Amino acid sequence: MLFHTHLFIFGFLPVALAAFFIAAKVNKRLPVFVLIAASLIFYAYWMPEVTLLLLGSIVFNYLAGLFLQSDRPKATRRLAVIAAIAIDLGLLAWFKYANFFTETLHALTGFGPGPLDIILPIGISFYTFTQIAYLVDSYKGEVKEKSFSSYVLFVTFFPHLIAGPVLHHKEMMPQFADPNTYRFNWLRITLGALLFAIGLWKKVVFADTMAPWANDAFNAADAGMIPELYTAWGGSLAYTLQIYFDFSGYSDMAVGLGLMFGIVLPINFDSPYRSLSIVDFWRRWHMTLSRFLRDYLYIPLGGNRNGDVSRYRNLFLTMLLGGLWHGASWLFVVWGALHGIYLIIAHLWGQAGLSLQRFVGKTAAPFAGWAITMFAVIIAWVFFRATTIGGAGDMLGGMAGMNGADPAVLMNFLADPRLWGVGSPIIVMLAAVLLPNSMWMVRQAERFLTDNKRAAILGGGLLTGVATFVGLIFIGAQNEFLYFQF
Amino acid sequence: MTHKSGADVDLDALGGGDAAASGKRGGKGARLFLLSMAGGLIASAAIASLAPENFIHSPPEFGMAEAFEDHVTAACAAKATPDLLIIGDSRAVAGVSAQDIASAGYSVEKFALGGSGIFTGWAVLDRLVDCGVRPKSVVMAYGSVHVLDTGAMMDRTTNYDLLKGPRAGHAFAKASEWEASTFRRLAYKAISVAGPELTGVDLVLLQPALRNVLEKPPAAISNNLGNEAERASFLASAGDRFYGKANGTSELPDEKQYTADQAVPQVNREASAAIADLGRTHGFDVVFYLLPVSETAKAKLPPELFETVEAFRQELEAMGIRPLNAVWTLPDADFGDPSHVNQRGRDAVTADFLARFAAGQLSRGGRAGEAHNRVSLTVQEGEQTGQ
Repeated sequence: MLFHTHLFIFGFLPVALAAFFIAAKVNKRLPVFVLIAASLIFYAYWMPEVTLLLLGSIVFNYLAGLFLQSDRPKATRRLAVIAAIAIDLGLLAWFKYANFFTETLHALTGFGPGPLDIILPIGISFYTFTQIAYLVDSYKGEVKEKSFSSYVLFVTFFPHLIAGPVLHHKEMMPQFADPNTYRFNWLRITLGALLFAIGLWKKVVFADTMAPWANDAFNAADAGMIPELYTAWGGSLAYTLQIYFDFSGYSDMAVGLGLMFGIVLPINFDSPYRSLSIVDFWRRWHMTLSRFLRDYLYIPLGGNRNGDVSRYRNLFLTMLLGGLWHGASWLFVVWGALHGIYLIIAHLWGQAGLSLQRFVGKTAAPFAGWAITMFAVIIAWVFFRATTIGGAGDMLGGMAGMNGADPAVLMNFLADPRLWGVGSPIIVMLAAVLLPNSMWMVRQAERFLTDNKRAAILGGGLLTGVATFVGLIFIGAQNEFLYFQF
Repeated sequence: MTHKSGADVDLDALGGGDAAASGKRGGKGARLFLLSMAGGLIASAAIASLAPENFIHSPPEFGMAEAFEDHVTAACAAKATPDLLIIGDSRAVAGVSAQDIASAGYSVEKFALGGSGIFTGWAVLDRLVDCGVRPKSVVMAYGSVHVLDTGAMMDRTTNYDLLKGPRAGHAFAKASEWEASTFRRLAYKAISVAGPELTGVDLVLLQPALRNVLEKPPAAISNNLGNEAERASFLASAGDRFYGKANGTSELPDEKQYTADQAVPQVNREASAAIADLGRTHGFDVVFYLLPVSETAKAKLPPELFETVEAFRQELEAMGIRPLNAVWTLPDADFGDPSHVNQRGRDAVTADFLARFAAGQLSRGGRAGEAHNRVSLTVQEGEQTGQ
């Protein structure tokens, strides 16, 4: 089931909310079971058979966690945690990467099986990572809440189940154990609804209207048509905006939904396209994944503990694997590698004591930093979006002006009626760069609501209602969330 | 461009922390916010519902529907008594020329519209009869696609737009009674009780068009101009209009969406019987005229589809409806698009219809013998199949 469908908004959500709060009146723990049931229905709606895989994975990891939390010798537990993680990664590798490996093997050697008929279970990357973190923390003795029902809910909680945010048990399990969570709370319901409305708008009005612009350019390039300057830049910029509003819109909806059920989910985006450096960008983009990669990959690899060479190697490997996590394609690996290189350059730049101020002056430095960062990010997105190396190369060639520039393309763009619409590329671009982000808006709303500022509340509520109506009108495009495939 | 960076995940924001401890904090403001949000939502929906649809819907369909409505109003005001009243679908719009029939000496009112199936035809006829229109004969002119079409109504705004006036509730109640899908039965029942505005059906149908206009605001102006032009033209042509204007096509028509095991839905039987009932009650005879398919379509589509249509045709007589013809074909060159005839095809179809209608009237002792433009059936007889 998708958040941005009428079935979800007018059917599933109200029923789930009503059942949740009615259950809370009946029994303290009943809402947990209601949420688990709702989450499983939500997941099974897409493909019931893969729900068994999810449940199997949950039971396996929970039992493994209990074993790791026991008093057994450290060496035994160490072996167990490695084995359990290997099984998790093996499952992920089979469902997500088997075709990638066999196709690469076939391409390199001419041998090996052809494409395997494997369905990628939705959300497998997210629930695998979530549970690996649980295993590691169980091994380290950092798991306190051990209730099975809380654990099942931690993994399956439907707002985050299929596309994150990547949760940490330490921030979720205590909430499930807290009776206050299940108390009906007008403030949380309202802030959740506001955040959901903002996310819906970002997804259906902004991201989905950017999709055709991006698809036209990239699909043509992947099909072998050579894009000229304006087409290549237009397509790349459109995708840059699409992926941000798609994923941050989804995350907003997820956090908003969590809040409606009394659960506070972690924030995933913080205006990444306002970053002034690539390091800054990675503090603001997909923050929960960055946190996971830092805590469970970069630091275990050695982090910055063994000198600069080791640090940069670890950084590069982390980004490379982070790229591969997004999908079974060499293009994702290139995307991750590019960001690894960007980060290494940024750190070397800082270590060398260099500063943009020295080159462009104090006033221009932030703008130069922003422009360089965005340029690097957009170049990397080309590899992320293209489906062939050739297509990515042609897009980059077009952006570099190697395929000429056709003024007619620019004129057609300027004459396009979509330029005047609510999802106009210009509006979307300005929103990404200049507007305060959704979290800021929700925090402002929280302040107004608690201070009972009537004019702001009335105006804000009215505006949100109008925006929600427009969002509901825009529902209907066939675009799924981009991050579902990851 | 500088602002506080969220270096890590902030759990204290968003109603966390203090709010969790006190369920009442901000509750009054929150309720006011939700109320005004609901107000904004409802007000937006109301504005969208009241907005001139001419600017929202894209031409030509909406313009045609507007002209259709004008025509209904005019016929009702005049309490028209035509020799022929034609109800039908887009194939009738293109193929059965009201102007040519009038030239042949009949007074004719054609109420055919794209996407309008047998149920919608019944609803329109019911509405016309209710307002005092008294035809001498009613012609049900449909392509086989609308015999096979599942469900009471295709989900086109124009179809729902036809169900207006004091008989709208009755029409939706019948749709609920005859429809096969449980969900739609319930929806039609709700509409029959509360009306299309309160149930939001108008808004739901408006959604794609509204999205289009919000996405491309200049489209509103071109929509309005296009719809007005279409409205005037469709009225002036007495409901005759071409769709595709190609000089022939060998592509398959809309029937291609159906499988060989397609059955005639119950709603079409019920609606046909109801049309016959209206005829008996108000003293007009009802005939059924099947529009042709292309030779390619006949050859390439599953024969079972046409057998099903033929079986339905044979049931009509028992209902009190006289079928004028069976499944038949015209050469591909007579089609302007896969489903609709071009000028050459229209000439052939109208001539065929007039001849069959006149022959039928003669055999029943009607006034068709007065028609001036009788056409030999010989040519068409040779092209018919299933006979």
